[in-house]
Amino acid sequence: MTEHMPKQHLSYAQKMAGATKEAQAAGKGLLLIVIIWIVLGFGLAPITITFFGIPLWVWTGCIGTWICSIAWAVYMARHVIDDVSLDDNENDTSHTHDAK
Amino acid sequence: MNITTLVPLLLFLLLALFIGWKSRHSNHRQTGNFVSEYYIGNRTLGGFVLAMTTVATYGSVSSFVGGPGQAWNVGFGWLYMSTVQVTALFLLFGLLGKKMALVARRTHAVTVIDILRARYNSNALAVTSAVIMLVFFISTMVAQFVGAAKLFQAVTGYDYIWGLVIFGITVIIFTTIGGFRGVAFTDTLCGIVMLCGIGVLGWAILHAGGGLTNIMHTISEQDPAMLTPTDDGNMPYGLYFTQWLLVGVFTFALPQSLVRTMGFRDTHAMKSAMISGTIIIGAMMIGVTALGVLARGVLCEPLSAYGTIDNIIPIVIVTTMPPWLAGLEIIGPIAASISTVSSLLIASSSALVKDLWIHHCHTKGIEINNRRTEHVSQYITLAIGLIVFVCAIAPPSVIWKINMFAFGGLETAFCWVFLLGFFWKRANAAGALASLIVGDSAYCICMAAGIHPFGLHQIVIGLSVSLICMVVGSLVGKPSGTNANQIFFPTENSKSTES
Repeated sequence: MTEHMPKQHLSYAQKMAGATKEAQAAGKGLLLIVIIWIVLGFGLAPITITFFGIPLWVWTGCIGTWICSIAWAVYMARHVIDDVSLDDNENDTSHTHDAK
Repeated sequence: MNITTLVPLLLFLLLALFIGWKSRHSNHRQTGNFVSEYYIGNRTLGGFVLAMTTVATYGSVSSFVGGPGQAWNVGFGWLYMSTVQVTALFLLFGLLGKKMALVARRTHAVTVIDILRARYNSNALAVTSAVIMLVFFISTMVAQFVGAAKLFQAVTGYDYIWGLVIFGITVIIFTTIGGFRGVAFTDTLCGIVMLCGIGVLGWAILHAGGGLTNIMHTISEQDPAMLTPTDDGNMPYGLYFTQWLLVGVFTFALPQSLVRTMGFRDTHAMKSAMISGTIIIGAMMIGVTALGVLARGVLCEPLSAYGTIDNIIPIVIVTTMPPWLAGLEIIGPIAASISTVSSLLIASSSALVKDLWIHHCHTKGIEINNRRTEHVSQYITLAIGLIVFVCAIAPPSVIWKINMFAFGGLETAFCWVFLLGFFWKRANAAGALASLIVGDSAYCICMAAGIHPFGLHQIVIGLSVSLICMVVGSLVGKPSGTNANQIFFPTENSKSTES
């Protein structure tokens, strides 16, 4: 667990601001996947090529879209989302809401 | 079917009970408070378990029966449509995962309604949210029990009620004793079993149909429209659009998914779950729906020969597998059912105990010790489970349609409340309450009246009304307090004023 902890100390505000930027990447990913899904599915549907009898658009629209989603998840995990300590290290208890 | 063929199912259920019992043992060793352990597993989930519990909760018995049945009927268009689900995991963890985790730790939130209380500081909103969740969760659980018990009856030949007793009682017991941690670990077991079930059924269909090429030849001879995305108009573009909303984009707003963003141990676990979850959800949803299409190469008669589309998968299991293998195969869909029920059961219990009862006691200044909380939590979980069980014995006839209805209802209710709650500072309690009540009412009324705006699913109306209410209510109502702003929209300045 500890090997994934960030070396740099970030404040709660910095972590929340970072999370906002990361969320934007998820939104862009969604847009990208929708476009890929349309292009690889509807876009390639007129092509009559088949593999094992299954039309090309099925392979690309379904398996292709899935692989692109995995690729986006990997991209976000490796290059977008920072590892931060989730524990509240600012020693602030003023916001506790009926914790027990 | 010989009773010995039920042995694999019974062994699987015993294993689930054992995992629940072990989790209880583990719960008791924890030193934190009971509520946090029972309802969120003390935020210790690792990446793989987090991915499996999220996907297994999302994937239900409908994914195993209704979806593939439709795919058998309309072909690859349905498979193409089911692919929209692959974005669910990176959206859930990418959009809200880290923020939910940070806020949950800062506010000591255990339930998603705790987060709403912190954001909007409104008891009316919290109570309404809890009621909406309970209504949709309970009806979904009944539908899951009914679906799995019907499948059990169709495949094994044993009575519906026996199936219900065998797996219904098991899931109620392991959820009651194991809490969230038990649910997460049994979900992992269920997820593995679901994937294995898909693999075995795939092998059986290919074997019975004489191989993939042969099956595809049969399909292209019989109904070539099944090879097109629109299936001669049976798959309109509007359906694709609404399915993107219903099972693609807005699944992040399902409370049973959101609560999992509060349960992981660190960001590494979240990122790992995002990747492995996207792999698993694709394998599961694309895999199981593809089997429905390929089943067309095995069951070649028109639909009227088989009754309804929900009969397709049970008939495929019975006709393509020897009884001993069918006894093994039945575990997959039952695992899909119990993994959804267990998660909704523990979430329902948390809504009643944590969000309503404990909050009420705190407001009234009533002291509750850990032991009393423990007893009440478990009794309530057990009681809700038994209510669901009794409802499933003699279910209303429309119950089978509940699953997607509940998906839409929960998404309509919580989508903007959470999304704008985290990303729009102006969002306030008035907007959230209006969004929740008016949006869901509009959705339910349109559903009941069968109103389809432009031929689209009622989710479009629900989400639109909900958004308008959220925006108008927020602009008209009183802004949220500084406390909420410091938690949800902190700045370095606000930090220094806090310290």
